[in-house]
Amino acid sequence: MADVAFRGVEKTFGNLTVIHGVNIDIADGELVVFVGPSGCGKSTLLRMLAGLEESTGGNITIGDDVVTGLPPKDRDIAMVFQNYALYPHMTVAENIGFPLRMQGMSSGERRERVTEAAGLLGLETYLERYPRELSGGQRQRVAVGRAIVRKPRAFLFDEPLSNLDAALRVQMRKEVKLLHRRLGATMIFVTHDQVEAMTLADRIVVLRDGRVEQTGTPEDIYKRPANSFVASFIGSPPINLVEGAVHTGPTGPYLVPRANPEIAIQLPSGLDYAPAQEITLGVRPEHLTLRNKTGELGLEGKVVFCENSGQESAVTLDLGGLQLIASLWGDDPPTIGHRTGLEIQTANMLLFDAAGQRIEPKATM
Amino acid sequence: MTHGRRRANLMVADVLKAGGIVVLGCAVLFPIYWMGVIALTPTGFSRSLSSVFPSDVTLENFVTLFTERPMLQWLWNSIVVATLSSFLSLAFGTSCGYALSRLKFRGAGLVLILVLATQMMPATSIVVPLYILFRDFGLLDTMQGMVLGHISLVAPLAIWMAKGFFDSIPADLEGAARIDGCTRLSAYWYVALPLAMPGLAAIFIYGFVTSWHDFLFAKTLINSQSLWTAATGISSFRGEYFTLHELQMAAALTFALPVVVVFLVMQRRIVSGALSGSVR
Repeated sequence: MADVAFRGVEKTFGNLTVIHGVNIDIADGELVVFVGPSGCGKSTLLRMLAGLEESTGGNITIGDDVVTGLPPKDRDIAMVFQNYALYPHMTVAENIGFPLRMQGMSSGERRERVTEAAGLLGLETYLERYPRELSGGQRQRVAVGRAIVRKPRAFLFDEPLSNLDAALRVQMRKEVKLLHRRLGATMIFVTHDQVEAMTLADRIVVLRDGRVEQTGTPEDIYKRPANSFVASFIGSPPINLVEGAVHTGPTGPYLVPRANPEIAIQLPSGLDYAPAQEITLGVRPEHLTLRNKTGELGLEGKVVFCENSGQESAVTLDLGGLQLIASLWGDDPPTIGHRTGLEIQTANMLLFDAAGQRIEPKATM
Repeated sequence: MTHGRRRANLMVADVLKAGGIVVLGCAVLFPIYWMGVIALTPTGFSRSLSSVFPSDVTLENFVTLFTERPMLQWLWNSIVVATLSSFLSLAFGTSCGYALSRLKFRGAGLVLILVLATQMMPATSIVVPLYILFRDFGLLDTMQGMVLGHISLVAPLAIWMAKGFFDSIPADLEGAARIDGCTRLSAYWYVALPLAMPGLAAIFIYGFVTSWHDFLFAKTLINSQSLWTAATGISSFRGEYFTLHELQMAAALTFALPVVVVFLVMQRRIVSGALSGSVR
């Protein structure tokens, strides 16, 4: 096992730069998830680490070795691909044992290691089958088996669960997490699914347009997003972002939303607001509470849409042109058209400046 | 319309369909059958055949072919030329096709178009410049020259076919192999090549059949009777005043057999679904 570092890594295709001087440090034994929308460069970064793409600038190190420019076989890494990439003309045992065969390991030792890896993944009874005779989940397990069989310095996962159905994805997610715990290996996992990122990661790297937007623990990323992009990308249902101008009244600072200047939203005090400063208020749906009575500033909305997932309902409220989503747990969801009072917990509000960067609360003396 | 009438109409449609297929099958197979009939008719009697069924069957034409004519030598020449040219075209086509499929380089599209353009030239247009070229290089009337000539016929399409087959193999498979410890070359050897096997078999069959059937190059580039291929040999049964149809048809039947054998041997390799299960 080894730590991994990206130092000023760049990638250009002709005149197009897709990775802009990325710096990431991954500790030995850490499970780090690269997350971001399609085209953000997360898979390109992973493929550069694997040696399948050449970087056009910067360095990548695994352990003490600078691996930039080394062919994939000399990097001592293993990779699980999004589309499994199993060798269709080989049986499961031959697929799992292929990296060992390339190392020149004897067939006896190879068989032993393959059986051990297959045992870990529950594949013992499928060893003589061909990939086409397996289900999607079993194929993915074979791909993982091929990765773990040779004990590499780092494991790379390129969206390995995206082709599985929802139930299998949850199960495989758990298995990857357990595998990480069991092997204590350095793992880098790429996904565009923020739920996968939040549930799997020791640390998350959020990427956008080839740049790192934020690196942090799942809790950091969720509760203290660096900017409005990270805030909006992480969380389901998505965070409510309300643009408006800050004013000060007898009860303290409040926000006048651009979408409906007739209402005012109480803001937390203790922050430096310039007069009429343009900001974006971020409120997670679980920090909105529906009330029978309207609050002090008289927020009231009409239920226009409701998504009930059984344990949770995402209720969309219309406040005169401003739409907010609130999460309700366990309660009976309100009926469409119902008018309801609304309270926003100021303690959990996130504020972003005009450039989208989060405004930090002032340190108390 | 009653149920019974509808059923009757469906039956009539089925009979017409089956009849059509039988007629088409007969039209396709009859020349081959007739070739067999003439080949089995005693020499000189094919013109007096009065029915589609032979009244007198004999193998004497085949015996004559192999005892009094150098048919075996011609067949051997055809086998050597067809095997060598198709193997070399395969090796050349797969190497170029793989490079054009996997390596991104400036001008790759132009190379492909130029390769295709050579295929657009009719063989009759290139046979004269080829003749002059081969004469200058001393390749006329040699087996090497014939093989080279046939490679020039087969290689362009072999490159295109190979590129298509390699394009259909997901690049991630070779990526996975390279991560698993392969070099680019060994990834090609262990992964790409076995998976392209159905395609390679198709290219080999195409090359073999093209070379086997060629008459123009064989007739133009070769003079010595000992170097004739079977195609040239068959044409020699046509004389200035008369043609030995029975011998010619026996030779034609013998000439057709190796291609059928090659196809039967290679067709097991042309299986669909070789890639199933590799990727989602």
